[in-house]
Amino acid sequence: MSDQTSTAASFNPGGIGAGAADFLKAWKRWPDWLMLGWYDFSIKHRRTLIGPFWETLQVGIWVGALVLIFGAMRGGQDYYPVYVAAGVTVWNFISSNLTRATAVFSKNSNFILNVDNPLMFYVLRQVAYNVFRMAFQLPVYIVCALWFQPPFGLVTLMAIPGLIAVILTGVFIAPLMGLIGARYRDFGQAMSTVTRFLFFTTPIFWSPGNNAIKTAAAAYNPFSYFIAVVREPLMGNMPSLLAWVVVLTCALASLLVTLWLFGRYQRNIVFWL
Amino acid sequence: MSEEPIVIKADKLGLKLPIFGFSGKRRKKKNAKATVGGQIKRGNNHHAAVIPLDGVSFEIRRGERVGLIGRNGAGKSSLLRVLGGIYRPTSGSVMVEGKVSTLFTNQIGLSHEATGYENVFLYGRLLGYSNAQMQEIAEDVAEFSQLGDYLDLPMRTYSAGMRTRLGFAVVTAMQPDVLLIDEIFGAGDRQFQDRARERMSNIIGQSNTLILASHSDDILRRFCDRVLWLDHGRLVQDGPIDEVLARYEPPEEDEDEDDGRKPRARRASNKPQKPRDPNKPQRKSRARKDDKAQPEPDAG
Repeated sequence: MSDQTSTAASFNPGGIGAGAADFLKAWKRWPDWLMLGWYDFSIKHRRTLIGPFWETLQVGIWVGALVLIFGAMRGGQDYYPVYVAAGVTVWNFISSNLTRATAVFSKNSNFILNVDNPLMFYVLRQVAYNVFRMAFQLPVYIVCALWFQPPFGLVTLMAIPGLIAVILTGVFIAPLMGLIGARYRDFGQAMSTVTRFLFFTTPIFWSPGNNAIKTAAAAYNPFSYFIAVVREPLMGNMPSLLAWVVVLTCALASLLVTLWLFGRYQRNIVFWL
Repeated sequence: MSEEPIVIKADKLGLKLPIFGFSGKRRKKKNAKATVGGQIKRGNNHHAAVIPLDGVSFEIRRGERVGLIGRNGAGKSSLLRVLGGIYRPTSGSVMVEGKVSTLFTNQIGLSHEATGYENVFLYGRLLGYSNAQMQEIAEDVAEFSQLGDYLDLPMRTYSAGMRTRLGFAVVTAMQPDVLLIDEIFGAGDRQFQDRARERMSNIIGQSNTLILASHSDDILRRFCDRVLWLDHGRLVQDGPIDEVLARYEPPEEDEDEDDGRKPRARRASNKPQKPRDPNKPQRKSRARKDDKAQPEPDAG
């Protein structure tokens, strides 16, 4: 239900301000999209025996397989299972913001065409879903960490701002993915191909070591740093300043691009559904 | 009535929707002229466009109960969506005052796996109801919808009519100032329609405005006292329900009768006459000239 008087003159594209207004309007309704995201997540697993713990199980088996195959090659050094579990969990969150978000508007077209809500509301609902999904994948890391006991300390707490930065970047980038995905239907397919490629070219289950090619692949890949700001503290190391600089720059850039494009095109999205 | 303030005002309202993934090239064989739908504009920047609304102007005062009629694709749903703030007009302007509630589909279920009761809460969340409001409406919805124990069953067990009951109960629970309803009443049974009418007249009693699109003159007569007739996105006639329906759908004639007494009906349709569906009264005597751009009669 739209609250107050609304007057609509014929369409004028807005700028960053219009995008920010829509974003804030949606953000203020956080209890609503959090709750809806949770419902989406729990309803997806309804009528299954172990429910949302399928997420835990899937990641557990995936991490187990990676450790089994690649851990042997590394000769069991450096708390490898902890490294992989943390890497896979963060990566899954990042990749779902890049792939699932491309379909967010077509998936919600039934609501968009029937209720006058800020469009960002549906994006936040999707990101909330992704966060709940990550929360249910986290136990795999926790089990690995308790088992192999990497050197924890105060530095471990740095994982919290790292995680917040990763989630916020997800909030900023998902609307952009949704916008492009609504207009260009190839985009969704392209993004799932790209993220599959990135899974192997990002240091998720491998570390650069002394290999020059691997080092370059990690250094010139912004996703390495997004994983590092969460994973390094979880392994007991301080993430590099460079990692934080890259993450914050990417977050800010994606926020500005998203707000600008959203302000400009948000009123067109409904015509693209 | 005329002392009431104007709550909805449309001024030369136009809407043009792009259609992507469709070149808009004509097929070799020319299609028969469409009697349905808005105008189709072809080959503009590689994209076709439909024009569901073309220069529609009207004013609606508080408490009016307005029906929308017109053939399939005449612009009824598009007009409702513009009034509901979902589509921005591409030309002209529209003003709507007050809280607007929309009921455009009975597929309100966020999830077919969630129970009816959960869906009430989910839908309420979507509409931005507060927790306190939600508790309040949940009882009201249960009471009005009369779904009883079904509210604890998943929505997939619901019939279309049951979903209509639930959806209508939710969107009317908060007593909106302006209520926009697309053709969904058809799914509800007679008992529901009576109850809906009663509930609506309670709401109308509190100076609320209703706009209802329907193909059923029966439903229109039950709910509305004024009708806007749209055709190819243009407003053909706007006036008291009896006047508009009389022109839109002249008094019932015997279907089997074929004595040339209604030549206009023959010409009005390029398609062979199909057997009548008793639930969806067809307009059979539409003058051909109505298809052409007619000077907008302003009965308002």
